[in-house]
Amino acid sequence: MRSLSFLVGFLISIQIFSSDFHIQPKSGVLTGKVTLGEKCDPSDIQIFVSKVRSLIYQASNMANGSFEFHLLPGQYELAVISEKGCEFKESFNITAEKVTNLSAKLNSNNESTKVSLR
Amino acid sequence: MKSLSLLFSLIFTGQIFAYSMCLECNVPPGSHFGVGSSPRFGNHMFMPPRSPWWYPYGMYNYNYFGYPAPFRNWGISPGYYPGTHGGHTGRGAFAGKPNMYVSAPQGTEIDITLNFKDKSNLLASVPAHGKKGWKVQVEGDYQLRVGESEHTFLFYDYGFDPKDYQYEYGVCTNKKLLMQELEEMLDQLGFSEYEKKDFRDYWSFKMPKSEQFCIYPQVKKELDKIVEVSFSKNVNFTRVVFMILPISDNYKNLPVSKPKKSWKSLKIDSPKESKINVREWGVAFFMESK
Repeated sequence: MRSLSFLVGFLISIQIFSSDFHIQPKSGVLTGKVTLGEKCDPSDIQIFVSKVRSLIYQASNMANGSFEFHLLPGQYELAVISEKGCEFKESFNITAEKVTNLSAKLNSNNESTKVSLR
Repeated sequence: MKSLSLLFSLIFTGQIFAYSMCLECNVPPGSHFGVGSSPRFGNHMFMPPRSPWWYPYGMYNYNYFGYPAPFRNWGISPGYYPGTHGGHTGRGAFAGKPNMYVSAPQGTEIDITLNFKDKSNLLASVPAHGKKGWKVQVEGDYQLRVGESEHTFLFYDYGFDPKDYQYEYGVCTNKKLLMQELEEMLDQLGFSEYEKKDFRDYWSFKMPKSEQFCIYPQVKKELDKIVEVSFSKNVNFTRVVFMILPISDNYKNLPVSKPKKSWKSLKIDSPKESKINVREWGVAFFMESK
């Protein structure tokens, strides 16, 4: 019973968060925000989304800037690079009809990562 | 001997590897190969401590038309992007990087929302657009606060059915005159030097390899049928997307016909009276047929 209520709660939370975005059928969304680690300057920041050996998206961003990428289901990599040499890299999975949230904290040594599927 | 020492210095700085691997990229030699090819990045030699796998192809400005981007021949491989996009030629299309600039008195707050029509859909946006759109506060010239971040422009990509575009007006030109033609159009539409420089900095490195191109400029009349932009306040909105078709095979087998009339005779709406001016430029390409 407890697990059932957890499941229901989980499904509701997906619906709530998914409703923040218009999602195409059979696709999902990657969203998140770029933040800076201690040693990283707020210089121009580039975001790259790639799948296997193809670059799907490139976009520039700023410190604390949010992003939204619509993708087909599958495994991808997000790379965020700043002009001064800070970076963030993380693999993530896109599931149909779901929103994947990824906090991209830029570091000179990529210490901190946090991924959550909503 | 001199060239040998140059070769060694290139190897030690990593340049030779970047250059030799960059056979397909459309990046000019000299200061713009390998890394940091965007003029926004002052230090062209910058290399992050652990480079992403695609760095030999142009770290910040790899070419759209060729590996590693999923773009081939006339256009973009549709298999990587959500949406059906239809297509009267059997192809959909992809609008890359419409940049939206907002100029208004300091402190102006305005909500901007993209409303996609049938067979068109948002693919990417910075800052995130979501369902609610962007809440923008103008802090100065090219200083837009959206949430916790400050941007010079709003960015988005989208896929669409190009049947609502016009293909009557435009121009076909060679690669040397391509950027000049595009900038002339931006100039006529009232884009500022700053906005034109952004366009030049970005697109001069992103154009496909081709000797000839046809350009079909799309203005508000056509673009509103695909994605309408709504504003919470009265604005003077100028928008243009250039549909660009790289020409091969001597103008045979094109997905659309060559433009019949000069773009200079294209009718453009007169600007409305408003203290808030929004200008948007973008470039579109056909997708490859599925």
